[in-house]
Order: sequence, then structure tokens, then C-alpha cells
Amino acid sequence: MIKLENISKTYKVFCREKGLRAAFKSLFKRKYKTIEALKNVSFEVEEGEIVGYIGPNGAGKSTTIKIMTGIISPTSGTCLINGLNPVKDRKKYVSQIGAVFGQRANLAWDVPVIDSYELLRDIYKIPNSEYEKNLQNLTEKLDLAELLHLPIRQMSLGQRMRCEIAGALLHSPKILFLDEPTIGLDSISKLKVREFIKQMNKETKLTVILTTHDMNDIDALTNRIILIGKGQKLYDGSFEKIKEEYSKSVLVKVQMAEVYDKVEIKGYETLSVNGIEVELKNLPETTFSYVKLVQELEKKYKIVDISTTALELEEVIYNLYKEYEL
Amino acid sequence: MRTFNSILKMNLKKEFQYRTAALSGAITQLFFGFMYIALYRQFLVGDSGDFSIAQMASYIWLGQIFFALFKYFDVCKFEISDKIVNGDVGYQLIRPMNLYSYWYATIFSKSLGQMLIRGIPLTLLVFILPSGWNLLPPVSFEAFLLFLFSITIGAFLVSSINMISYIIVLHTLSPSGVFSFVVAIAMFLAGSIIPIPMMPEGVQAVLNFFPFRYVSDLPYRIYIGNITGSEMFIQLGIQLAWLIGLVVLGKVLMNKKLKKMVVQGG
Repeated sequence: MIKLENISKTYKVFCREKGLRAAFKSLFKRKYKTIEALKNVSFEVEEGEIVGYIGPNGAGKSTTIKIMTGIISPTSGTCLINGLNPVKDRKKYVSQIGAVFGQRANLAWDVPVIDSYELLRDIYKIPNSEYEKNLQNLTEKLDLAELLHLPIRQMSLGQRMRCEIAGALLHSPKILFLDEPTIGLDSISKLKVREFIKQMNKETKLTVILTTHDMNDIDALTNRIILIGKGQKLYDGSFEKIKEEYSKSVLVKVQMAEVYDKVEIKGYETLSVNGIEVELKNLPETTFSYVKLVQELEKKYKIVDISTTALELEEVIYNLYKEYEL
Repeated sequence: MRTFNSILKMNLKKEFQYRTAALSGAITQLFFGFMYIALYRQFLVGDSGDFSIAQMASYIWLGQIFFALFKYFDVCKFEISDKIVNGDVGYQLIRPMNLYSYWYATIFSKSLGQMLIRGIPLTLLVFILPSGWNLLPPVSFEAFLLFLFSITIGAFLVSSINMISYIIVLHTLSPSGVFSFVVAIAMFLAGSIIPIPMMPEGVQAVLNFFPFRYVSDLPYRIYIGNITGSEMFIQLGIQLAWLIGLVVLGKVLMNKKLKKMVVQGG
């Protein structure tokens, strides 16, 4: 359904140098440098898939979304979505997609949301029956009944985001682009948004491309991620696998029966010794095994208790970024 | 057309909720109207030329009534220039619509909304002022119809001028620089500061080369009977030509700009 082949995008940016003299010079002669925002990015997405598109700030996520939504055209490469070229067939194409940019506003600021929706209805030329049906459905699922007659400016961020998402789905698009939809939301709103996306995906086979920095979004919604860094695609595949791979290191907290000055266990790194509390972490080459560790510990020390914590999701990603030197 | 109506409806609704702004706007207009009339009466005392005090007063009041309709440049700060600067314009590009038409309809309807809510009460008030200070009825029914036609074209013409200024903002990304300077010049060229019939003939001849004169000066003068007959029809033709020319120019510039556009930031 979505097919990107060798997409590259370069920007020409005006080089600013420091100092007044340089600023004055630049009035007459400007230096430009080219920035490669995307380098040969290719991937495919099937209908009904949810794909998490992740990467650190400045990796090229938004640029990819902009190319896929037809806002900008790639410098080279082809992007074909549902058989259409987003830039050349813009008008026909955009009525098949919906987009929510977490940091931008689509709905009018100072009129009730329902008026903005009606404007969208006329712009997208949505038949009345379809519009009514979708509106009712979205109102129910996103809990909008009390919000429809309020303008955006009187809403909380979570309420606003729910309205924005509904606005992007009124015309029953086939693909939904979500650019950081949960940014700045509290946990309840986040859960609501996630649940809703999942539900829509199941019911209408909506294809969803999602960028986010919140790995819980990914964890809740999808198993496929595409990792991008410095404009290049680094990984495309299962999120579970990444999690397994990078959460191999396990943090172990041991409570000793008495105070030891030094604690050394083969295959483990001692992170801290604090009275009777000791923290250990397995070395990369060691596979963590509870039984073995207890055996090793009991050979040398008297222990009271032992507990383990797997790495947090955020740390997994941190390790992943570190591995790819992002 | 349905989209245009919908944009019109939405913007009228928007403007009608700002009652305090409208009231203070109407009071300002009233104040400026009196000030201009008091000032220009002094110039016209004993003048038996083709622009009488009574005509001048009507000309000034028309200018005040339609003030909001013929505002130049940044008339849609929230709706357009802010969105260009902060990147929300990206959203407008992923709607199945022509960005030129959408902005055009927005500019037109917003100006119209602001004008209606201020202008209607103001009109009723200035009709009943003492003679020599008041707004006269149109010189004839025929003139009134032509005035309506011309002022409608004028409203579309000013929107097409403002469109071009927004296309410039798409390029420079800085609305304040483009606007603060040109607004005063545009208002002068349009006769919004000094009525054009009171200007020296040489200046008037120069103003004929700009589109601004045809926005508001022409319909007002048709209303007061200052421009009539074949001269009037020639000028209406020029007005229409400016409108078509500027719309075509705007569309060409916009398409060119959108091809190269980059929406910055993540």
C-alpha cells in the first residue's frame, strides 16, 4: 500500500556565521550548505498495518512524514502510496489520508469544533450520511459529546488532541499519519488515544504510520518499528526482538546477611556496595540465570534476599540509539 | 462554491462573536469620520468645484463604513500569516483544496464579516447626522446599483491584492516587515487618507496606474455621483481587468512557490 524507494531529501540552508561582521558580509554574499535529511530510505507498509516510526530528534522522521503526505517532494527516489504520487496527484491523494501533527493545530482556534468539522465536511466533500455516521462514531469512541460546542482554545491538551484526531478521520481515510500524537499528554489521555487507534485499526483496517518518542505508544500499538537515524533507515522489524536483544542486561539487587567490603561474582559487574545492599549487573557475555546466580552468591556470601529488575523500555531505546551511534 | 459558502459562514460566525471589538471599532470609525470631515471642510469652504462639502462628507463616511472591508495586507493574522510562520500551513496543504482559493475565501469573508458588524450600525447613525456632516443617499437608483456592483468587485480586488502579499510572506516568512511599510502607502494610494478628488490632478493621474484606486475610491465616487457616464464604465472595466490580472498573477506566483516550499521544523 505504501511503498518508498530510495527516498532522499536534501535541504539547502543558509550558513550563518557568528559576529556582526559576518552578518554584514552575508548581506551580499551568502554561503549555503546542503543538509541530507534523508538518505536512500526504502520501506513498504501493507494495508491495515500499524508501523512505529522512531528515531531521535532530527533523524528525519518528520521529513519522511511530510514526503508521504505530499507536503514536500523528495529530492530523489519514488514514493507511491495506494498507486498515487503524493505530490503529483495531490488533490486525489490527500482525500485518502488523514494526518495529525501533535505540535500543530488544524482546527480553528476560536469557533466551536463542530463548525470546523462542518468546514472539513465541505472541503472534503463528504456525503452527509457518511459525515453523520463518522461523526457519531468518533464522538462516541473519543468521548467528544461535551466538547463539540467548545472552541479549541478552551480545551485542555488532551481534549484538543482527541478533537484533532476525530477531525483527521471524518472523511474515512485509508491511511492515518500520526506525528507525535501523544506529545505532552497525561497518562489517561495517552491511554484513550492508544486504545482508540487500536480500535479503528481493527474495525476499519486503517493503516497507521506513527512517530513518537514514547515507547509505550509503540508497545501498546504495534510490533513493527522502523528505526531511522541521521537520515538513514537502520532497522525495520519486530519491536519484541529489539526489546529482547537490548534488555538482556539485568539489574540484580541483593540483600546480604552481613556487611562485605567487596563483592565479586564471576560474569557480573558490581555496581554498588552500600552496607548490606549490593547491586549487580550481568556482563554482556553472561546470560542471566536466577538459579546460577544464587548458587554463585551462596558459595561466597550469606544472602537474605534477591530481586531483579528488567531494563525500562526507555533504556532499551537508549541502548539501541547508542549502538547505532545516534 | 459549497466550500466558499462554508468558509464564508464560518468566518462571519467568528467575527460576530467579537462584539466588543466591533463596538470599539465602530466608535473609532465614527471619531475618525468626524475628524476627517472637520478637517477637509476647511479646505473646501467656498470651493464650487465638482467635489462639494456634502459629497466629501458622504465619501468620508463611506470610507469609514467600509473601512474593515478594504483593509490592506495582514487582515488574516491568525488564519494565514501566523500559520505560515509556525508551520500549521502544512495542514492546509494536505486538504483536497486549492490553497489560493482557500486563503482568498478566508480573506474575503473575514473582511466582510468585520465590515458588516461595524458598518451596519454606523450606516444607520451617519444617515441622520445634520446636513453637511451626514451620509447622503445615493444620487440615483441606477448609481446605487452600479455602486453595489463596483464595491463587490472592489472587495474581491482588495482580496486579490492581499493574496499577493501573503504569497510574499510564504517566501520571506516574516509578515511584519512586508506589512508595516506598505500599509500606509496602500491606504494613501487608495484614497483612504485624503479623498482622491481633493488631490492635485497630476497626483490623481499617477494614482490611476495603481490598482488601489479602483478598490474603494471608484465605488464611492459612483455613489456620490462624482464619476458618471462613459467615464464610469471605462473605469469599471479597468477595475475588472485589475481583478482578473491580479488573481491570475497570484495563482501563478503561488503555484511556483508551493513547488519549492519547505515546511520547516519537526
